[in-house]
Amino acid sequence: CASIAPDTGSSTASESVKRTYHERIDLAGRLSVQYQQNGKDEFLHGSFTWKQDDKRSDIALLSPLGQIIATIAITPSGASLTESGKAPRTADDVDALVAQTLGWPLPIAGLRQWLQGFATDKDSQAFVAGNNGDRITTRDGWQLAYANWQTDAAGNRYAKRLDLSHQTNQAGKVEIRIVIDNWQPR
Amino acid sequence: SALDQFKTFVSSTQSAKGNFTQQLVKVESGTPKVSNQSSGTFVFSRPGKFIWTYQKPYEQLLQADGEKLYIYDKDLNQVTIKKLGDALGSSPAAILFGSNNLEQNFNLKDAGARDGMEWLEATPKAKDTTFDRIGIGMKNGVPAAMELRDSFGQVSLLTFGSFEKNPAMSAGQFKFAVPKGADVFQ
Repeated sequence: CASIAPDTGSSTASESVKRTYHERIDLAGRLSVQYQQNGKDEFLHGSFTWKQDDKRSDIALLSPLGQIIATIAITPSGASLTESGKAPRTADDVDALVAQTLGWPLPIAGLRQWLQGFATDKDSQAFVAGNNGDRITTRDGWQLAYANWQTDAAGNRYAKRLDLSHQTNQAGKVEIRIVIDNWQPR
Repeated sequence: SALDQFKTFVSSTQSAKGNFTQQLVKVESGTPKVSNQSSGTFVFSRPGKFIWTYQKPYEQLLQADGEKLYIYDKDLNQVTIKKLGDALGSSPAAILFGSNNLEQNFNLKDAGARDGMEWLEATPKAKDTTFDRIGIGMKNGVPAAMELRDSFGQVSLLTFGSFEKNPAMSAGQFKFAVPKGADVFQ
C-alpha cells in the first residue's frame, strides 16, 4: 500500500503545530483492544513493535509476558500475517487480512499516519494533531482522540496515548488504546 | 536434580513473594538482541492468587484473587476484569502460582545445569499456547529464573530476587481495588 505522506505545508488545522512525517521510524508501545465476537465482549492487552521503512513495514503483537502473538509484514506487493505456530497468510489489503485472521480490525494503513499525529478527516482535509484531547473522525470512520503527548530528547512532541474507536459490523464497537513507549525516527 | 528441587518447592511452598526482572531476547542474524527490560515485584498464594506488578519502565499490574484476573495499565488508564477460569491453565503464571498438579498441563523433564542454576523444562500439553517451552532455573530450592520461548524463537527471560517462601500474608492481600479514575472493562 503506497503511503501518501500528508501535505504538512499548508495544513488548515492547528497551524501552530510544526511536525515532520517520518517515512522511516521504529516504534514500540502497549495496546489494549476491546471488540465483540459472537455477541461476547472480548478484550486483549499486550504490546507491539512497529518497524516502518519507505518500502516495508513490520509489526509484531506480543502478550503481556512478551510472547509474540502475530507478526505482520507489509510490502509494496502485499501483506502477510503469521500467527504463533501457524502458516503465514497473505492478502493484498493488510487491514482486511488482519480483521479476517485476528477477528478484530487493526487499521494499520491509517495508523501509519495517526501514530505520528497526522490524519485525513472525513472531509478529506489534512489534519495535524497537536494538543491534548485532539479529536477527529477520519475519512474511513475511525474516531481518534489524542489523550496526551510527550517530548523526545530533541524537543519534538509525539503522541503518548491515542484512543481509537469504530463501530464495525464484523466486530461490533471496537475500542483500541495505544501508548507509545519507544519513538525512534530513522 | 532440578526436577526434584522443583517438586519439593511446589509441595512445600504455599505462598511466596519477591522481585523480578523481565527482558526479551531475540537472536537476529546470529547476535542476541535484548529489549523491553522491565522490573517489579510479585506475591502469590496457591492456588490461583497472585499480584505481578511492573514498576519500571511503566506501571502495570496483573492480579488474580482466585476467581478473577485483573489487568491494570496506568498509562492506558484501564482495568480489565476477566474470569480466571482456565486463564492460568498452561500460562507461565501456572508454574509459580497455579495449583500444584503441574503435570496435568505440562510435561516436565530435567535440562541440566547452566548459569549457576539447575534447569528443568516444562512443555505445555495444550497446543494453542503462545509459547513452545518454559525453562525453569532452580537455585537453593527456589526458582531463580524462567525462560519463556515462543514459536517465533523470542525468549522472555525472567529472573527472581529476594525470593521469600511462605511469608506472612494479610487477609485481604489479593483483594483488588480499582484505581481512582481508571476505566473498567468487564
